[in-house]
Amino acid sequence: MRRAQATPLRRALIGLAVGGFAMGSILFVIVAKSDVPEVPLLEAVLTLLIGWSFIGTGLYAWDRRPSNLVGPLMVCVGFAWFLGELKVSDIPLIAAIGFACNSLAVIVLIHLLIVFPSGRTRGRVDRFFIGYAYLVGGVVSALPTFFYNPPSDPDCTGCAGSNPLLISDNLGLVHGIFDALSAVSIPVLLALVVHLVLRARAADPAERRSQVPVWIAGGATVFVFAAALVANLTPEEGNQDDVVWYIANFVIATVPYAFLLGLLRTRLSEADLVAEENVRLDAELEARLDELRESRARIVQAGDAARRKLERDLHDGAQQRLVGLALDLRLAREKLADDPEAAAEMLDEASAELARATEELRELARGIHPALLSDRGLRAAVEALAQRAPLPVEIDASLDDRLPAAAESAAYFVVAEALTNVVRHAGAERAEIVLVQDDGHLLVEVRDDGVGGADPAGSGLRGLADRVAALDGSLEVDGAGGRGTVVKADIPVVRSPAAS
Amino acid sequence: MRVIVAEDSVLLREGVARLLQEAGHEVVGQAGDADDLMRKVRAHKPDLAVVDVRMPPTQTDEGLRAAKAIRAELPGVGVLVLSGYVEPTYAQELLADNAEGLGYLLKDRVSDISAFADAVERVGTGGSALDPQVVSVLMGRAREEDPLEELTPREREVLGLMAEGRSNAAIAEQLVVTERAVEKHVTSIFGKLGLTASGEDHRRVLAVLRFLEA
Repeated sequence: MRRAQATPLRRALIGLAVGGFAMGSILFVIVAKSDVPEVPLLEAVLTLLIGWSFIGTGLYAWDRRPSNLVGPLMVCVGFAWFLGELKVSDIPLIAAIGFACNSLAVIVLIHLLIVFPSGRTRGRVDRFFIGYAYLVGGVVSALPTFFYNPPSDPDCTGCAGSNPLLISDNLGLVHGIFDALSAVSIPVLLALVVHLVLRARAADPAERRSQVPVWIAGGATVFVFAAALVANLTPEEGNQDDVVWYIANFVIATVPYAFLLGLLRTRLSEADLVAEENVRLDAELEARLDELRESRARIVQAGDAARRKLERDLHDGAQQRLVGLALDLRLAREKLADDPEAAAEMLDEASAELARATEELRELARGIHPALLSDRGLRAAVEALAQRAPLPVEIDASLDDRLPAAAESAAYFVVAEALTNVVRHAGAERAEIVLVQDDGHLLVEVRDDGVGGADPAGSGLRGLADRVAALDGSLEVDGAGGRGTVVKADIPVVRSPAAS
Repeated sequence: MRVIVAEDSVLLREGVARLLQEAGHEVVGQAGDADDLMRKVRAHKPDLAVVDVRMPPTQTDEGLRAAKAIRAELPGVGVLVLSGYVEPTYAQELLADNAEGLGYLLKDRVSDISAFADAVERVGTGGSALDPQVVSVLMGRAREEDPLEELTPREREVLGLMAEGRSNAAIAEQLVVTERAVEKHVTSIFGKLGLTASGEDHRRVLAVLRFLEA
């Protein structure tokens, strides 16, 4: 039974997708309405393209390879990209937040490049680059936020109003930090490119095949960013910086697809396979547990309902009759002297009433659990059911011996309920019961030639399904097509001490 | 008639014993479980043992098993089984191939004193008794081609009473007709159902039962 289930992971991924869509839409509006970019619409489209590409492909990768960090990192890049783009907002506080998060996307992207495709770091060099990226790119590059005030920047035309996070307005310090950062980071980025290229060359052909798209896109991105940083350091010449920036944006938009392609082309290692399988099994287990909890609750409810019905039957039936009887006997006793004939008549009536009460109790007891089932087993008990049915019932039973009590009683009640339904609803001419014991399973089948249309979700059949499921079995009801109804149960027969 | 009563409920056991005594029988022993019953039957060799199906220690079908053991060991002892269940299976098991000196009655039948006394009398003298309700389950069975359809309502009545183990005379009395009329019905029933006529009541019971089971 493997069907796509709404596992907790799926639900979380759907939530992220909704969040990504919403954030992207908001960003589109912010950027398109912003006064900062020279071509707002183009920048807005680029922003949306990059953010959604990363989030979408990342979610897909996450779903396909739940235990691999690549998917989550891709989603992070997408969201970080949106955060960084907030810097163009016309609202000063939002712009400041965006400014602080400006480098986040690139940092996560570097992390992603390094751990691709396994999602794990390989050695200290990897860890150095990742640590450097987060420390320098994440923390240090956020520092200028507190010293940069757009109104005092002569380069910034149409920038937002004064920065609410401002500690001190010091444009010189801001430029100083950026220049230092760029100067230190360019060699590190180049070293990273070399590191990754060396690793790519060391990879075996199969690995390389799956990684080619990523190396191309990723390497190009790193290179373009390095070029952008160089352009930043060199004196301004026309709109050269902006052109480099747009090119970088286009390149970066291709990266997530390359990642996705590379990830899906990667053959999973043994350990990954096990991890994948575990995640899948976990999800399945969780779903099964949910099912189990529900069915357990239903079994308890059914038990309660059965007890209530029993109480009613006893109270309204036998108990009522007995109370009436006590009264009749008392009256008869009083009549005895004056009118012995009437007394005798009353006593006769009392006897008849008593017989009815006994009869009722007997049927009630039989319904709870037929003695024949425990004494003589399934076949005898089912034959007795058939004997009492008001329509001809044929039995085809191949059972060698007694089965565990739980299996026998589940099978018995399947037959009893199914026959009751046949009598009540099917309008059938005849019915057939098949009981087969086969390879650790007890197969029960009740079919009729009536009108069909049984409702498997009806309380009777639902209760039976739960009962059978409690033994790890399954119940199937096929009543479509107007060709009668077939109720089939497959009950595992475990002869362990626990089962008996 | 000398009778042993086996029943684990003291109340019911005493009640049955008193009924039997009032009907003029001698209760030579009372037993509370199957082992006790076997001991007393061997010791007293009574004409009849009245046996409850459910008895200690397992409270399942000790009585039935004891009844079969008595039949095998002491064929001269009649066995009247009292049961709480309207299950033809138990009766059929018991009667297997010999209905002589055997009875299967529902427990509540003891309250119908004359019918109970009648059954005791029959089984104790080598006849048969089968509870009317068990017979009605067998007769009421739905079958693809019900051979009983050919019978007249009166003939069905006679067939049911035959299955219960009653003699022609008893049937005549019950239906308030002459014995001669019953004999005619019986011949007609046997003819219609393709059964071999038999004079002896207990063999007649078997023939009818086999037919009903089939």
